Amino acid sequence: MGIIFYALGYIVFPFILFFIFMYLSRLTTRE
Amino acid sequence: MSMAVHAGEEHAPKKGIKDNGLLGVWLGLISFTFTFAVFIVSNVYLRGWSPDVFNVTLPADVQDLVNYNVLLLVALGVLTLAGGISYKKRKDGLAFGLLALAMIAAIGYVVIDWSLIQSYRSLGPAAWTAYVIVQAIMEILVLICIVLYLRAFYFKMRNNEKALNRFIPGATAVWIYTVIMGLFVFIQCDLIEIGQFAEWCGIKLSQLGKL
Repeated sequence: MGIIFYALGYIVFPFILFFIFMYLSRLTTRE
Repeated sequence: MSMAVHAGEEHAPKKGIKDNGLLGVWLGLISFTFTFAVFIVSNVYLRGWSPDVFNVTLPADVQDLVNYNVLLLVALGVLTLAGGISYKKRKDGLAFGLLALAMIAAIGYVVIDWSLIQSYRSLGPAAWTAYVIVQAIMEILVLICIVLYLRAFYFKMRNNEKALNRFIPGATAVWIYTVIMGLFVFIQCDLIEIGQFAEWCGIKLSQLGKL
């Protein structure tokens, strides 16, 4: 079971990071 | 005439995902994550595979270093985020004050992490094997963060707003990435449970109160 979570994490985590980065740029970019 | 209009269009600053530089930073960080994850997973795997050897119980003073570093990292994240948001709102004084505080937290982290790496070394080959690369990567990431804070202050001193408008969102990605990975390492590699950590914080606070 644990290994499946690790595999899922490995796949999903980069996508989550990408959305976090998009949100951060929205928070810090001047209009 | 038409050339000039065209040139003007090209110079219009692109924002967010449309800024190729920014997109490059994100993709770079994401691909680096795969390298980093290999070492984090090795640590978890080694400890699961042979707990007697690799599940090192850290002495209290070494665990203190780990915990202080988590607090510094959280401080770094909150201060940086608040700084970035203040920058967007054009409150420059506040923004760079917060970023300066974040940089002080980062310097504290680098110093503590350095002695933490020495502690892992003195704990023997098992601790050294499982932890050295993960901690060394964190050390390098936070050193890069410090360089980026200095670069932001340099642009600010030069009053180069155009450069800062691109630099702050790009650097924020790196700063917050470092915090996320540091917390991830703490949760995955440093054995201690959230309850234990909360207890540790309580003990330290009460010690602070007695001073």
